[in-house]
Amino acid sequence: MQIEQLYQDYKNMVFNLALQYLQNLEDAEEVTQDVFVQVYFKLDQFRQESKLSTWIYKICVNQCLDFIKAKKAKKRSAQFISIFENQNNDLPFIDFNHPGISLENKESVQRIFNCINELKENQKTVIILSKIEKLNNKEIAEIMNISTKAVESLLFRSKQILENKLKETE
Amino acid sequence: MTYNPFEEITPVKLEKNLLPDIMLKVKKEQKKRELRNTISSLAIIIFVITLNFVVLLQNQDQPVQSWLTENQTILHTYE
Repeated sequence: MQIEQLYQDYKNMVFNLALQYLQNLEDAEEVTQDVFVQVYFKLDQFRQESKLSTWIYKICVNQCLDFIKAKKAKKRSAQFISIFENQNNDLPFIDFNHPGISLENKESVQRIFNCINELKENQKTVIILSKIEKLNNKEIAEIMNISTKAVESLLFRSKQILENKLKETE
Repeated sequence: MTYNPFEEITPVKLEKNLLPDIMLKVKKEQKKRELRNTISSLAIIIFVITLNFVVLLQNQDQPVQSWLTENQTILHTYE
């Protein structure tokens, strides 16, 4: 299958998932580009053991997590430099710019995303895939390379932690 | 009915055409991979040449060594 066709078929899926992870339009666009570059080079490795969409989801999740790590590292080094230059560098890690949220709900949803961002990588992934992307546990298990049972317990625990965090911020 | 905050997040349609940028990144990555392959091939060639050179030098030393031990034996017998 040609990359142009894959892009047309999955661009919105990839873009939306990246948006849920990064909550920033520009960052999501950049990650979407990187995901399709990866798809282009790894397409011959796709063994059709899962659905193509699941495989692309997996690439997207990894790309988002890598992007977040890189951004955090960049921010840490900027903070380190600012100590020597006496600059105030208290910029938030995520510049919230999510086009999928209406202005009236922005504040409440941003609060939820702030709490989601504090979760561990696998907890964040399971919440996003299950609650926002509405994938079933079997698909999530394939994406995360874990069993369906493990997804169930991870989801249960992640929801509990998220609820506690939300209560704390109330 | 309970309030589900996740329902507030609606799917977004990607308006911007990212395909030209993707193809540009693909070309860049291809060049990077080609360069990486060339460098690793060159490294292998240099390693093989160096190894051959070392083996050649060792082989050159061997007659001298055998000549030395031969003379040492003669010297020992004279002593």
